Amino acid sequence: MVRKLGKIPGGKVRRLEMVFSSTQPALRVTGVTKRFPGVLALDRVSLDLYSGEIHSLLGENGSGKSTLAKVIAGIYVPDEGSIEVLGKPLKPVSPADAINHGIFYLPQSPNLIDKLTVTENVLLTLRSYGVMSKVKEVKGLVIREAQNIGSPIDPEAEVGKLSYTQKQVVELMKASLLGTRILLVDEVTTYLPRSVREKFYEYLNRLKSEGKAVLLITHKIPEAIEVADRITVMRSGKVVKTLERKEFDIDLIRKLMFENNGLSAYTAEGLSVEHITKDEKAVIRLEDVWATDESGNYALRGVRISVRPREILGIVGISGSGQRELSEVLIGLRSVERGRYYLDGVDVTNKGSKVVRAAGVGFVSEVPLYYSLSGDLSLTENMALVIRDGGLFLSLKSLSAKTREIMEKYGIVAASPKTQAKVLSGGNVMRFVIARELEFARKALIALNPTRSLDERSVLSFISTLKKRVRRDGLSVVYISESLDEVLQVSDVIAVINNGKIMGVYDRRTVEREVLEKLMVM
Amino acid sequence: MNEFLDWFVRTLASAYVVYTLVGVGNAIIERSGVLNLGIDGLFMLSASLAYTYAIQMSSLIQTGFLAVGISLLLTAATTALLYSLFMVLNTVLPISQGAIGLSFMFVGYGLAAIVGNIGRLIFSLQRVRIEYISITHVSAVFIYLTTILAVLLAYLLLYKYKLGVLIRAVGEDPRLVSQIGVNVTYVRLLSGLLGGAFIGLGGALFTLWRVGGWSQGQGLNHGWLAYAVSIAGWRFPPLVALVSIFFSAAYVLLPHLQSLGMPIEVSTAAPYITSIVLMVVVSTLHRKSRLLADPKSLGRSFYREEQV
Repeated sequence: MVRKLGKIPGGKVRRLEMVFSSTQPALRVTGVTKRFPGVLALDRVSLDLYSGEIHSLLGENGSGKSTLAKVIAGIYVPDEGSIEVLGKPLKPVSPADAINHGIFYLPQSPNLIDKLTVTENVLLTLRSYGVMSKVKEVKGLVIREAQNIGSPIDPEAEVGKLSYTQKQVVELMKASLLGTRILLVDEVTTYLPRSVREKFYEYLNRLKSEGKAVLLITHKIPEAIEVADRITVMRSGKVVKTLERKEFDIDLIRKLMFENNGLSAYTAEGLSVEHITKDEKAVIRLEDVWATDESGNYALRGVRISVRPREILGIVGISGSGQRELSEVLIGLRSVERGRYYLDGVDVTNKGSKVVRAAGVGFVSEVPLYYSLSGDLSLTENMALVIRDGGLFLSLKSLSAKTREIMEKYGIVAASPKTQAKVLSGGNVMRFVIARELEFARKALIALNPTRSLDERSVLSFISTLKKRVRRDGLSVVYISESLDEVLQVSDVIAVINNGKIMGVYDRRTVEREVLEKLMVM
Repeated sequence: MNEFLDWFVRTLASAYVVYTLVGVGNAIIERSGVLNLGIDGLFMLSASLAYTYAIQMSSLIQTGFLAVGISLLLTAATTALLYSLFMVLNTVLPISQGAIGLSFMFVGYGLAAIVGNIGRLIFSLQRVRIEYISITHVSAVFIYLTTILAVLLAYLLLYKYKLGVLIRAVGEDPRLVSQIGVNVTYVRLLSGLLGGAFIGLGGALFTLWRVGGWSQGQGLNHGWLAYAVSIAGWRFPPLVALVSIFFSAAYVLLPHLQSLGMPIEVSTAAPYITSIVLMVVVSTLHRKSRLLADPKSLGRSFYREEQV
């Protein structure tokens, strides 16, 4: 083992580069198990990661890839198992431990504080700078590192105003300045357009040639095959197999990823809505809507959308592009500063959620216990919150029967309708809200990242029920999601939201994926 | 003219110094995302501490002005320590910041009475005289300049040094910041030490300069008045120092309306009514600058629930 210690001129950052014999892994994970309430997220997972390799961790949503990365990064503490860095045991009880061992976790949504500048964000992570160092001191370092990565960035720019790609460049700067030897890349490339993605791969290859180890987490098979030296496939919290480059085969990998799950990959074919009548009047119509977020900045800037009956409008965008604010405007929880909101031709601008919901609009959000349910109330009582027939004298008995019926129909696992909502697992809470809102919605449904806490099977069942309601009852749906795959699968019409603006509206049948990806990160 | 200057220094200028220092201290605390509901109790406690320290010091040290100076520093240090405890508890306990803040407020009220009465007891035994800071123009100018320098120092620390970057980052998103390896508890402890020192200094000057003595209940509600100054200045030290001029003038002058025939109930309530009105007005103004926006995590409890 050769050790090189070097100082960059003028900087206090220590660069530690190591060259290893290929027999000793840079990182060894042995028998790691992690349980969350009701879920076995990692089941005795073992993995070796060598210096100078790009190792792809492949698996569908919820297979445990991210959990494993977070365990290595010290964000989660494993219940069992051990982790070794260069043969030395590492017990990361905090992210700082992992960073000190040269491990850097690059998450899908950048770990940056929006209100701080690029330089301030970089300074936050540099532990060699004490609390009394001046912000100015690192500015030069930031400029140099940005050039090094090949993407110049204004060090004084407020991070909240950067594009998604630029934010990830800031993350890479941090990784590089911290002297990272093991880089964990968690689905970062998922949202990047082709051209940017290639540049990113180039950078990863450079790290590889410098003797660093890269763990690339993805659910896209082609991406893994394209860039990885080895691929480890995970399924339901277990490692299925690790493949060498010469064993790469797309069908084999697909089989390893999906086998026994009863899912024929992603498509829910045959459910697409056939005919959209062009001349039908819009059910939901936003005209030049402006709204601010909590800190008073505009989160929506002149949003214009319309949804006809029997139509699903998919709205896709990177997290934090104004989706949450848009959904709140649509359900009447956020006031509009400028512009109008029409529901069935009636102006409901700033009329509040009572009016909107009374018109028959349902709402499913990614955080049901914040928007939709009271955790302390029982399921039946939570049903009573939205069912209006009977007024103050509605019968809890009939509601209870209704709740039981819904529980069976949607496969919600709970002891009884009397169970408190907060006792349910995340997935079951979500299924309950979906069930209630799908039953309740008569005119339209607003969905904000509805599948986030659902497994693949529930996702498919939700989407097919949703489409049935659309086809049979003429429901209009605004489907807001961060997952382009999902939006492509669900929608009839697709709009891209970026920085509070609708960047374009496209017909699902003719639009190219590449076009949407570009608009998302522009 | 001289009489007017005396009056001005004794009332307006001294009020300005107290509210500015406490307001800036509160800004440092709350920028780190902890709701400072303990402020009134801890302010009152620091006012009592200053008195008791001064009695004790005056009996130990012959030079009266040195004794008072040391008492100022001791009060600032004690309040800083109390605030660091306040910040740590607010960060590590899975209890709402509201509950912890109000507990500190009431404990502060209680301790203030005890500490002040201990001072009185020492006084009755030893019969020492406290050399309260005189209201000469020289001392006023000196304290004034020191206050301005302190505000400047707070601004530099918060916005030009890593300490401030850490404090503001923790106030925005403590969970995220801890995920990149920053110790949130430590950062908040530092902001408690710094902000607490400012608040302690303000409380000490309230007793040793503005009032020049101690009586039961001294300082009650003045912590809240300073809190209003802090919020109206958007927790941004230079602005706090600026709006403090108007608030202090209102606090000091409005009770005098009594002599113009206003009922005493109204004139006594006037400072509080004014501070509410001014706060409402200020909070409706649109804040373009990221430097002035409220800390995003203010008042939210933080503890690492995932690390079980």
